[in-house]
Amino acid sequence: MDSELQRLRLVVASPSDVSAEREIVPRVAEEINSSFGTDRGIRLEVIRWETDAHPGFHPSGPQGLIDPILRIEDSDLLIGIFWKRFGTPTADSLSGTEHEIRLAFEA
Amino acid sequence: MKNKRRPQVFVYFNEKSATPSSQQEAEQWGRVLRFKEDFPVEGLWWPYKRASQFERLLRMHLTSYLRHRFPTTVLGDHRPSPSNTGGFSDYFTVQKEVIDGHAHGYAGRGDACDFLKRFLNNHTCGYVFIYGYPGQGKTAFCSDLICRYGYVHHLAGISGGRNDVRLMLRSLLSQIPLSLQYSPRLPDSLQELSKLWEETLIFCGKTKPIVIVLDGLDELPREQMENLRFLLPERLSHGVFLILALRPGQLLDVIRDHTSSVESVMYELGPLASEDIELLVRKELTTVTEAALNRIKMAAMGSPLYVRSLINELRVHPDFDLSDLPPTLEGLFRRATHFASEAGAEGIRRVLGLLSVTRKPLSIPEMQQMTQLSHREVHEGVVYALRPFLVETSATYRFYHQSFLEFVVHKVLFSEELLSAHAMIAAWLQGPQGKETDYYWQYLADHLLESGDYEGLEQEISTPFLVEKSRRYGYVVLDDIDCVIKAMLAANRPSAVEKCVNLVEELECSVGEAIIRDASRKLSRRESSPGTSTLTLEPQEKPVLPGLDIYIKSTAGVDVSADFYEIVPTDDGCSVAIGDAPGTGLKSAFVGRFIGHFFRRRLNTKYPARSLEDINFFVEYVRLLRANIDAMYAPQSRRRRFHNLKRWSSRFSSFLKAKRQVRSVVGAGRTATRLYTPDPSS
Repeated sequence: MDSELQRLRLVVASPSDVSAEREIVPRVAEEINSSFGTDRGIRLEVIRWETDAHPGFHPSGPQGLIDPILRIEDSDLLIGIFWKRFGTPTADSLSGTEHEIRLAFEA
Repeated sequence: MKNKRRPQVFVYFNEKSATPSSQQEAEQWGRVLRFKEDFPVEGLWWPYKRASQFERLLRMHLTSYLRHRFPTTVLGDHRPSPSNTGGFSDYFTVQKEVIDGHAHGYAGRGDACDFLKRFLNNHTCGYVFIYGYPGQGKTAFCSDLICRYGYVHHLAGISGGRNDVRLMLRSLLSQIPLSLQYSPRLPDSLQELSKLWEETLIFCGKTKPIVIVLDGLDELPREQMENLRFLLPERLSHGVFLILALRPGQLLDVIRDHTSSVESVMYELGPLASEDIELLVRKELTTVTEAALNRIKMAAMGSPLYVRSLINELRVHPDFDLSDLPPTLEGLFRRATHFASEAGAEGIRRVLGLLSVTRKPLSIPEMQQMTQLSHREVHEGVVYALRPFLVETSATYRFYHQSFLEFVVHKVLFSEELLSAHAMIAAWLQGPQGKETDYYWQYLADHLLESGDYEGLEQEISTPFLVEKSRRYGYVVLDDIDCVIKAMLAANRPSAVEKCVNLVEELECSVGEAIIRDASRKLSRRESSPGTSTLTLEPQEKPVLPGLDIYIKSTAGVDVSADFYEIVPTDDGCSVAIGDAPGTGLKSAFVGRFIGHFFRRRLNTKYPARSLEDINFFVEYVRLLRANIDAMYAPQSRRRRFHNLKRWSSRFSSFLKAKRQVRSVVGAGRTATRLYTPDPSS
C-alpha cells in the first residue's frame, strides 16, 4: 500500500544554531503525511544531514560527502533556515547552507 | 521518481534578537544579513521570531505547495455515477468554483486550525461551531479545510438550490465513497434521505473518522430552517464530526440547543492577527514592500474583507492609494446601509448618527441610553447589520474606516440628524451615566458646539468646569476654550469675547500654569501607548546591528505652543494661514487659536489685499494681549493686567461690531510684524 504513494524529497538546509526548527520540519511533514498526504497519495520524505549523512573523507571536504546524500538536484523541496550563524565555508561558497540553496536554484 | 522541475525553495530567517559573544559570532551574523539582502528575487523567504511561528508558517507553505501541485480528487472520485442519480450529479458543481475561489490565496488562521485539530484529536465525535460576523472569512476558512483535507461538505447559498435541505442531503451523500455508503440508492423524500444520512454517518464513523463541513446555514430561508433537524443529528456516533460555520445569532443558539446532547465547542473567527495579514498579502503580492505591508495592516485593522479587497485592488492597480477605500468595499457598504433609507428606520438612523459623530467607540448599552431604543433594536437593527464595517474593542463599536464614516455622513444621513446626534450625546453626558465618564470631561464642549447649543455651551463650560478639567487633563482644557471661541464667533456675539478672555484669566489665576503643565506631564506619562501619528513617525523597521538591542520610543512634548495653521477651502483653491504667537503656555496658545479661528470665520477672498490690512489691524490687539502676558512676569499689579485684557476685549468687540471683513492670511509673530499690505483697491 505504502509503495503506491508518490514520494517527495524535502531537504533541510541550515547551520547548526537552529536545531529546534530542524526538529520541527520532520514533525510537520509527518503530520501532513498522515492527513493531507493520505488523501492525495503523497508522502514527504525529510532528508537532513544529521540523520542521513555519515562520517568519512572527501577531496572536496565534508560538503563533498553530504551532497550525494542530500541529492538536492533530485529533490522537490528545500527548506532553508537561518538565525545568527551562517555556517562553515565550503570550496565554492561561504557556507554549506548557502552552497545547498544555490544548488537548488541552479538545478 | 524526481520530477523535471527545480526544487521549490522556502527560506526562513529567525529575527529574534541576540547578542553575539565574540567577534566571530558577529561576523557570522553579518554574513546572514548580507545573504538575506542579496537573496534571489525568485526565492521565497519569510521572517519569524518564535519556533511556533516557524512551525505554523512551514505547515501552511507545505500544504499550500502540495495543494497546488496535487489538486484534490476527492470530489470526482467519490461522486456517484450518473446511473445512481437519475442522469445528473447530486453534487453542486458550483461549489467547486466557490471553494477554489476562496482557497486560492488563502493563508493564516493558524490558531483556528490548531484549535480544530486539538478537538478532532481529543474527542471521539462532536460538533465544532465556527462563528463570526459577515466578512470574517468563514467560507474561506471552510474552503481551505475542504481543499486541504478533502472533507465532505456543503456551502449553503441563495442560488441553485443550495439552500434546500433535501438537495443538500443528496449532495452530501453523493460525496461519501460508494464503499462507505450504507445504501447505494438515494431516495427522494426528505425523511428517507435523513434516515439514510444518519445511517451512513454511523456506518462511516465505524470504518474511519469522517468530518463534514457545513457553511452558511444562516443563508437558508425561514421555511428551510425547520428542516435543519433532518440534516443535523441530535446524536453523533463514534468517529463523526460536523464543523458548522455560521454567524452568531438566533440560529446558532437554536442549533446548539438541538445538539446539546453531543460534545461541542465554539470558536470565534475574529480579526486577523498581524502575522496572518502578512501571510495573506505576501502570498498574493510577492513584491510588496515592508512599508506598504505596514500601511495595509494599519488600514485593514484585522478585517479579512478589507485585506482581500485591498489585495484585489492592488493586483489590478499597483499604485492604488492605500489610504483610499477599495471600490468593492464601498459597494458593499452601500448595500449594507440600504436598510437605513427604508420607511420606519428612524431608530436605525439615530444609532447611525451616533456612530458617525461619536468621539469614542460606543457600547450597545450607551447607544441604548442615548437613543432610548431597546437593546435588540440597537444590536440587531444596526450593529449586527453593519458588523463587517465596525471595529469592536472591549464590546464597544466604531466605524473602522474614515470612508465609511464619510459615506454615512454625506450619503445616508441629513445634516439635522447629525446635529441631533451631537445633542443626544451631549444630553447623555450631562446625565447621571455620562457625567462619571472621561468622555464627559473630554468631549462635552465639542458635542455642545457641534449640536449648535451655544447657550448650553456657555452654561456648562464655566470656570469651575475648566478648572477641574485643567487639573485632570492639563492643557487639553484648551480644546474647550477652543469650542467657546468657535461658538462666540459663530454666534457673532461680541460680548462673548470678554467672557472668553475672562475664562482664560480666571483659569490661570485659579489653577496656575505650573499645575496645568504638571497635569499634562502626568497625562503624557500615563498615555504611553503609541498613537497613530507616533507609529507613522517612527521608523517602520528597527535597524539591525549585530551586538545591539535597539528600542524605539516616542515621548510627546508637554508644553503647548502658540503656533497654528488654518486651511480654508475657497472657490478657486484654498487660503492658508500659518502663524505663531509669542511664548508658550495657556495664554499664548489661546491667542494663537483665537487668531486662527478668527481668520477662518472672517475670511473673504474677494479682496485679499484688504484682508491683509484688516488682519494687521487685528494683530495690533494681539500685541496688547501679549503685553499683558509679558506683564505676568513683571512687577505689575493684577488690576493693571486685568485692565489691559479688558481694554483689548473691549476694542475687539468694537471691531466685531463694525463687521469688518478679514480677507487674507494672518501672521502673528513674536514681534507682531506687520504684513506686506498692497493697496486695498488693487
